[in-house]
Amino acid sequence: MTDNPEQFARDLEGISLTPEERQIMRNKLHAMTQLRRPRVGVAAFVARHVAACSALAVFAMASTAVAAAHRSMPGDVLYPVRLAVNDRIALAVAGDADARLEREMEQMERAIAEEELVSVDVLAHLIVSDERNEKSTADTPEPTRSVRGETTEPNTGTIGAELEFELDAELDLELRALERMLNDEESAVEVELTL
Amino acid sequence: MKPTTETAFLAAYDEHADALFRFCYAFTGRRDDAKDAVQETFTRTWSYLVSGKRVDQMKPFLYRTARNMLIDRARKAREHSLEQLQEAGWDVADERTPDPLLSAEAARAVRLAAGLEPAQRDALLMRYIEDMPPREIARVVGGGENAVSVRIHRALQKLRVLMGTHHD
Repeated sequence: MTDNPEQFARDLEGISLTPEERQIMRNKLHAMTQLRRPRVGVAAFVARHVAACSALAVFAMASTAVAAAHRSMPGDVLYPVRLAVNDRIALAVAGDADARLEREMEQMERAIAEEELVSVDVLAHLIVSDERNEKSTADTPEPTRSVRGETTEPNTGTIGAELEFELDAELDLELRALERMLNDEESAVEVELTL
Repeated sequence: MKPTTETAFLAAYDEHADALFRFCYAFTGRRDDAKDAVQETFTRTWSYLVSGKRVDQMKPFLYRTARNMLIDRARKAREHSLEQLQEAGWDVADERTPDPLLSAEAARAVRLAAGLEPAQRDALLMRYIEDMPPREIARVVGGGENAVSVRIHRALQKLRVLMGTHHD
């Protein structure tokens, strides 16, 4: 027998379970695994599938945004999403080239109509808010306007009031121009009569 | 097909049971205690897996679990008197009865291992019998790789002394 650490290690390698001991122990452990199953909670599932759950969350958020963008109008936060995503998807599933062209035309016409609708809506809102302001500011003297353009300073508290003042001023100019034309014509007729 | 937890667990048993038994035998010096230790180690490992936790490297995990459990048992055994141990079923005669399944050389090697300091013995066994690198041994016993290498070196020196004394 050689006395060295390698021999010591080889001697110890002779220690092992007998096949019967090994099988008995394995059977006991197998029975234990059947009685007590691994628990996979939500937290453990998410921790093990971080990438898949993240992708699922992103997909859910994106789908929600697309669905919410479906009824968005110009000026809304999600309107760009509707133009960039919803409309493109609709074009992609349209079918042949003719169907796609038709769908594209519909989208353009709808976008124009929506823009106009929003503009009218904004203007109506401005006028209504202007009327409310006029009623609420009873102490403030009302602007005096005449056909001949003798106006006081407009109530510049609202944009609607400014627009109305400018429109009145334009109308006034046109009326004065018409008056001059009438006067010129009358003068010309009088001259003809005297001659 | 991805293996289930049960399949992976039993595969780990098939791969490491013998080596773990050797380790526990060298620690305890008794066959029955070593078998109990192996069974307890795998039971505790399964409890760990059942609770939803993961084991990245099974081999160092098993050795660390076995070693901690054996150290706890040894500490508790020292706290009890001989009479208390006998009342619990421990028989002095068991110590003198040789293991019939153990060769003379293996029995001698076990006696030599018992003469080493526990930390040195564990590091030596894991390095020379289980072929574990110092980095892996450090995960089991704690400390750094350098400390493990020093322990192994000192264990070898002590072993040579014990072998020389044994033959003298």
